Amino acid sequence: METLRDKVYEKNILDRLADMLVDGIASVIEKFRPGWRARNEAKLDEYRLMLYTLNRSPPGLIGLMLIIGFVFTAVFGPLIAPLSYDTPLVFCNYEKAYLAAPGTTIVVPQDCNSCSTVEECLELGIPPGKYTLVFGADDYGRDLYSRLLYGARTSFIVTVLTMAVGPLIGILLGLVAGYYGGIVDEIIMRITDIFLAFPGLILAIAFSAVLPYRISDILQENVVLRDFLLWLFAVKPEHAPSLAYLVSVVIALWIVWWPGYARLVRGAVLSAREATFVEAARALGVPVRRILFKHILPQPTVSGPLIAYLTTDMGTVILVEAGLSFLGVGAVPPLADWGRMIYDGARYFPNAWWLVFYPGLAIFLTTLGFYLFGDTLRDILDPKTRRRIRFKVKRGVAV
Amino acid sequence: MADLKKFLVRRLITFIPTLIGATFLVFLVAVVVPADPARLWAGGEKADPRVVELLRKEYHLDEPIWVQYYYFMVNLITNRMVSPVTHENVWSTILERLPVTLQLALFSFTLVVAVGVPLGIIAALKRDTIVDYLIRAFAAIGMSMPIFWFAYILIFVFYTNLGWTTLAGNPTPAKTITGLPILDAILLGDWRTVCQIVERFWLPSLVLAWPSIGFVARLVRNSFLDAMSADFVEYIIARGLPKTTLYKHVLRNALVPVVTVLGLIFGGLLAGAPITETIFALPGIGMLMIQSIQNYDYLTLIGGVFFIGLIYLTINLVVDILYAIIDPRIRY
Repeated sequence: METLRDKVYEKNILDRLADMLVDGIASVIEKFRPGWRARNEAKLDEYRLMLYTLNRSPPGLIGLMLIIGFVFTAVFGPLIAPLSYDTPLVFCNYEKAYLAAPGTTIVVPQDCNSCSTVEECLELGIPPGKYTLVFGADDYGRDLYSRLLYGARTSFIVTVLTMAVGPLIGILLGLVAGYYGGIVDEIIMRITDIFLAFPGLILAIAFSAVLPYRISDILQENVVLRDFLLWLFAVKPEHAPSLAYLVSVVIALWIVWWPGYARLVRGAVLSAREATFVEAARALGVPVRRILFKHILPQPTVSGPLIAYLTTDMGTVILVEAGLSFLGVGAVPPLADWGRMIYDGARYFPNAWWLVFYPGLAIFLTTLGFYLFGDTLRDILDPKTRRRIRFKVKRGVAV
Repeated sequence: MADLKKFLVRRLITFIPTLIGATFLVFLVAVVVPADPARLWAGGEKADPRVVELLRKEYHLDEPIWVQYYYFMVNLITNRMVSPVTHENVWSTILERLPVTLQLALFSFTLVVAVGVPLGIIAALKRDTIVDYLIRAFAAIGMSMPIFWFAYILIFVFYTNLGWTTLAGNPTPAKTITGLPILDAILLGDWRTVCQIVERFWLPSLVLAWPSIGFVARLVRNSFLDAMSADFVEYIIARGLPKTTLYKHVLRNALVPVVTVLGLIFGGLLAGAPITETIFALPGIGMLMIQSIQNYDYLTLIGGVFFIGLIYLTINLVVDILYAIIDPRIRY
C-alpha cells in the first residue's frame, strides 16, 4: 500500500479530490480523538483505494451523480418549486392551463379569467406571478415541474422509511439464524420461506389495499406523528387524510422487504461463523451480540454484498412504490407521486404525452442511478476487485 | 445419493407447512384488517342489518379466526366458495383466468430465454469491449425502467403509429383441447387465430419480459466469466483443445445457477403480471386481483394470492430438486 502515497503514480483530478476528502475527514476525527489517524492509516489507504476504484468506473460516477441529483431534488425540491403541488391553474384560465403543453406561459393575474386583483387570485390559491410551465400541466392545470419536484420528496421519504426498517428486520433475523443454526435457524428460515412464497408485489398490493383503514385511525389520534409526517412529505395540512395511504405503502413494504435480507445475511454468516477469529472470540467469552455486530457483520464478505444490495434495493423500492401507486393502491390525488401521476396522465395519452413521459423519466433515472452505483459498490467493496485497478506510472519517473 | 434422497424428503416435508403458513398469512391480511367486511359486502353504511347478519353467518365471520380459516380453506379447495361481490365461485373464476396469465408468462419466458441468454454469452465472450458495455448498459436500463411507463411508450410507437398490435379482445380458437388458446390453435391448424394471438400478446409479453431479459443477460455474463476463471479452463487451453470444446465445458458449468434463476423467473412472470395485465386489458389473474381489491372482494383476492402462492411454491420445489440433480457438488 505504500505505493499509493508515492508521487510517481499518475492521479487524475478526481483522485486528488478523493485524497482531499479522505484527508479532510481524517483530520476532523483527529481533532476529537488524537492519535486516531496514525492508528488507522491502513484503513484510510483502503478508503482512498475505494474512491480511486469509483473514479475509474464511469457507470458508478453517473450513478452517484444521479443519486446526488435525486437527493438534492427531494430535499430542496418543495422549496424551489414555483407552485404548490395542488395549485389548480384551470380555475384561473381554463383554455390556457388545461393540459397546457410544455413551455406555455401563464401570467397571473393578467391571464386570469376568474380573478382580476392580487387578493382575488390569492383567495383562489394562486399566487400572482409569471409562470412558465416547463414540463406542461395536467387536467387541473397543475404545473408538472412543481409536481415532479414534490414527487421526488414523496418517493425519497417512502424509500428512506422503507429501507430504514425492512432490511433491519431481515439483517437481525439473518444474523441470529445463521449464528445459532439448528432449530432457531429452521424456524426463522421457514417463516422467511412463507414470505418468499409470494411475489413481493402481490403481497404488497394486498397489504397496501387493506392497511389504510387502520392507519388513518392511528394518524387521527396521534397529532404529533401526523404533523411530523406532514412536514416530512411536504404535504399541506388539509391533505392529511391522504397520508394514511403513503404510510400504508411503507408498512406494506416493511412486511415484504425483509426476507431477502434474512437469506443473504444468513448465508454470509454461515460461512463467516466457521472462521478462526470467531471461534477465538467465542473461546474468550465475547458476548454473542458483540461477536455478531463487531466481528461478523463488518467482515467484507458479509457487509460488502449487503451494502451493495441495500443500494440497489433503494432503486427497487422506488420502482415498486411507483408501481403500487400506478395500480391505485398507495398515494392518492392530489398528492404528488410519480407513479400516480403516470396513472392519472395515462387517460390523456398520447395527446398529453408529457404527463406520462416526464414522471416516468424521473423514476427511470433515479432507479438507474441506484442500480449503477450499487453495481459499482459491489466491485469497490470487494477487496479483490479493488486491488485489480492499475495506475498509470508518471512519464519519465522510474519506479 | 443418500444425501440427495434425504434432502428431497426434507424438502417435501417442509413444503406443506410452508404452504399452510403462507395461506394463513394472506388470510389474516385480508380479513382482519378492514373493519367489517360483511357490512361492506352488504352495501356499506346503509346496509340492512339482517343481510349483514346473514352474510356474517354464511362466511363464519362471527367465529374465531382459525374456524374462519378452516372454513375458508375447505370451501376454496372443494370449490364451494362463492364471492359475495360477484356471486361466482372463486376457484372457477381463478381457473377461468389462468389461460391468459399462463399464455402471457409462456410468451415472456420464451423472450427471456431467447434474448437474455445469448446476450449474456456474447457480453462474456466480448468482455470489456464496446459490445459488452452496450449489453451491460441495456441490462441496467431494462432493470431500472418502470414497465408501466415503457408500456405506454411502446403502445404509442407500435399501436398508435405503426398499428402492429391490437389492444382489445382475447382471441381463442373454436374448439378447446388443452385450454391454452395458442396450443389449441396450433393443434387445430387454425393459423389465423395463431396470428391473432401473437398480434395481441407480443407487446405485453415484451413489456413483462423486459426487466428479466436484462437480469438474465447480466447473470449469464457473470456466471460465464466465473466459469471461465476455473482451473479446468487453463487445462483445456494448455492441452490445445479447440475453442468449441472449451466453450461447451464452460457453458455447462455456467448454466447451473442460470437454470435455477430461470425457474424462479418463470414463477415471477406467472405471478407478477398485475401491472402488465392492467395496462393491456388482459383478463388474467393479476387483473382479477386488482379488480377484487377495488370491489372489496377479499375472498377472490385471497383465492388469487393462494393460487399464485401454490404455483410459486411448486416451482420453487421443482427448481430446488433440479438444482440438486444437475449439480452433484451441492450437498445438503
